[in-house]
Amino acid sequence: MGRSAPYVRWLGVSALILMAAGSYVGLFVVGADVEMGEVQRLMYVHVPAAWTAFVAFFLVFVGSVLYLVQRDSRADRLAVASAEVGVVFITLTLATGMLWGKPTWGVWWTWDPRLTTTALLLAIFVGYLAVRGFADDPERRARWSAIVGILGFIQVPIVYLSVVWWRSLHQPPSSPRSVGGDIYATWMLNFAAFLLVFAYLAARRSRLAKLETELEARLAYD
Amino acid sequence: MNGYVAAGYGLIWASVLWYAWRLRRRLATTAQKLSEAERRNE
Repeated sequence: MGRSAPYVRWLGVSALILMAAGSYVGLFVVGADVEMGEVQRLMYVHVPAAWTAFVAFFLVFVGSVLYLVQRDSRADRLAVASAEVGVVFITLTLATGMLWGKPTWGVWWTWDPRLTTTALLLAIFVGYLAVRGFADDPERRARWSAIVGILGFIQVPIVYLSVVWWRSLHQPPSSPRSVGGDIYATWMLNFAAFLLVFAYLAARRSRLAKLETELEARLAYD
Repeated sequence: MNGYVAAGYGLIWASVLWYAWRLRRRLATTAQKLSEAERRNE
């Protein structure tokens, strides 16, 4: 009953292989940055982790809207699964950013607009998960968290544009025009890997949500 | 290898594997509870 469909298992294996490939390329294949040196290799996981978190929170937004419109429990499961895995990735974004910031800026943390808005994003979606613990009724739980999920997504473009709107230590958004081809290719490889990891973990988390709902219904029947 | 880089990549791998393992445990526990609840209802 807890076992996932075969395609999910293959998704997990593919994610593991691609993540290993991305780490190998980021650590041993692409040369160190001329200015930043070896520590720049953290960018090959920090940037893709951030992008994956943004995708995750976008899916929370989509699931939340779909739930409020259609009252379909599958949409709620998409939202909660994406939120939980998104929290993992945004935490990793902050952690790898701090590991890069210490040798580069000399500090683990600064109340810079990009860092502050990202920390707020983490707090919002931790709050989303906490809100789900407040309601016993599944329908009320899904509705409350859907509202948080929709409003919370507003923080994602704020994080992205924070380096444009305010003076920030953090680098502005990058593109193939602003960075070298091998850097961008390594970002894309790790982004693809993290997306597969996200898909696998979210599928498993969604299955867990389905089982938890069934268990809740069974225990209410007792 | 730079220590910060090793810590960063290590943290990514440890977190992903730990979370996957936690999900596996939660799935197994919930599935077991559901089986027991279904048996009680029969």
